[in-house]
Amino acid sequence: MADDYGYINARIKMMRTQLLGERALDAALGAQSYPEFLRLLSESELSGDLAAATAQGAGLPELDQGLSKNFFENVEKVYRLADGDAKTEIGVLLQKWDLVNLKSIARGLTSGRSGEQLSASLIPGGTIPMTTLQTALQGGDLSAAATALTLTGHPLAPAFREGVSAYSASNKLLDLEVALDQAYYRYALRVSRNTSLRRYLSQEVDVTNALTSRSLRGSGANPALFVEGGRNIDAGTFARLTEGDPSGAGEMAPILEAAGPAEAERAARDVLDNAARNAAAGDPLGVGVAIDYLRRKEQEIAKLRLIGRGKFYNVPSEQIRQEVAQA
Amino acid sequence: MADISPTRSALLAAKASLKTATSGADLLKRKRDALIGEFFALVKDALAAREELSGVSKGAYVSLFSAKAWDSPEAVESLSLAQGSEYSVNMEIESIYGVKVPKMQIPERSTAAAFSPINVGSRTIQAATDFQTVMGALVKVAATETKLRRIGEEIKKTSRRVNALEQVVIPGVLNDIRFIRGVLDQREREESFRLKKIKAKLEREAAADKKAAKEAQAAD
Repeated sequence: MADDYGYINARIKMMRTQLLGERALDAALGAQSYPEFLRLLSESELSGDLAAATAQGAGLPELDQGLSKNFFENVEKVYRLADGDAKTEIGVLLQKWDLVNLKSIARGLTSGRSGEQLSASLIPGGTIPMTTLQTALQGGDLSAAATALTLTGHPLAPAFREGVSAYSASNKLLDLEVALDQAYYRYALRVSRNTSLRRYLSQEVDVTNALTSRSLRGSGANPALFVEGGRNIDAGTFARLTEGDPSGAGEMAPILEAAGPAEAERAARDVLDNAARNAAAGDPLGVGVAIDYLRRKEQEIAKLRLIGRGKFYNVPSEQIRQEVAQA
Repeated sequence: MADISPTRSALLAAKASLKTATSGADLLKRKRDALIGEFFALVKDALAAREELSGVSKGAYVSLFSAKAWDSPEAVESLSLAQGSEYSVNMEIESIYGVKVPKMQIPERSTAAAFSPINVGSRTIQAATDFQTVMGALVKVAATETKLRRIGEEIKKTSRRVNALEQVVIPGVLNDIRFIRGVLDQREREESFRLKKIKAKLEREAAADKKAAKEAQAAD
């Protein structure tokens, strides 16, 4: 396997055909009950991962596990297809789960959770092997975890170490988390150079800044939470948006002008879905196809989680349909 | 009755006990009425607290429902680790008519989440904020319902005491008084009868002596 997007994209396009289409999602939405929803899923491509969810006495945790397993296996499959620069570029997309795992470790260690509890909360996705994460946990404190990560040479390891120093100085977990988030985007934007990944990440940074500024409204601006690299929102605009002035947000205006968090998320998903589709259309021989596939797969799983929850709690189909249609 | 010595001092002691029991029952009844008043005033607060909890919980669970679906359960659970597993409240003990009840207060907390909002969905942040409100409402419900339960238990205890005084202690003391009075009256009647008998005998002897003296004088 080489840095050959022709081959990688052909395989990804094959995988894309296995995603559930609108018709399958409509059928799942139309299921009369939770068991019927599971029956429909067991007839789909996801059936292999949902055996535990269909067992006697199984509930939503088993469904969530099955769907997560399917998602992370597909993500891993895409990652395994790549090599060289392609692996680095696709790896950037997977490092979001590395971020979640590193934050879980930091959160767990600072709040005194047990190693067992923390191990259970780690995601089997991302680019950091599970054994490395377990080793990081075994030290029992943040410094030991930072040392274990540094030995792997992972791009986020220096940021984790710096974050641990920042945490030691301020005793604020937020400093560590922000250091990780900022380092992730700095690294991702550096790696992506002038590819479709760069354009997608720029949109994602804008969406992130728009959502962050929304959530900070009324609680005061925090310049440390501004992520650089977006096209529409710079530091000055971010400060203004945080103060509640939505002007100058460009394409991000629908997120900032949305009536509530649900509508803002809908608008954010629309922007990212479009960005992923544009990446695939504009870069058929590059990383764009992988971006689009991973985005579609993530949304497919999210929709199934939503429908599953709705069916489990007997939420009216129309209400679930509205929520699903938001994406 | 066998244990009671039917004496005048026992009667006085029983009368004193009766007075104490009657005034005790009266005081306890007044305490019970005051506690019932307090209980009903608290019921209103407890219902309002329950209603508030139910309202905020509904919103919070709806937010969590969507957050877990869109942001993935793993990411949401990871965020929950950022919040410490301990939740401290300020608690004092206050006394309501002698009943020790807790008075809980939630210390001022920062509304800002402990985690970085970068890359976290709006619904998830909303769910985190909503659950902070749920915790506040939960503490309020716990405080009012504990108070209510303590006062309810005290009302029950006080009612039992009033019943015990009115149905057992006071009738018992009244019986004792009746018994002592009966015995003392009987003794008084016996004493009076005996005195009458002695008097009659003395009178008879005096009359016999007088007669014997008269006969001796006549014989001389």
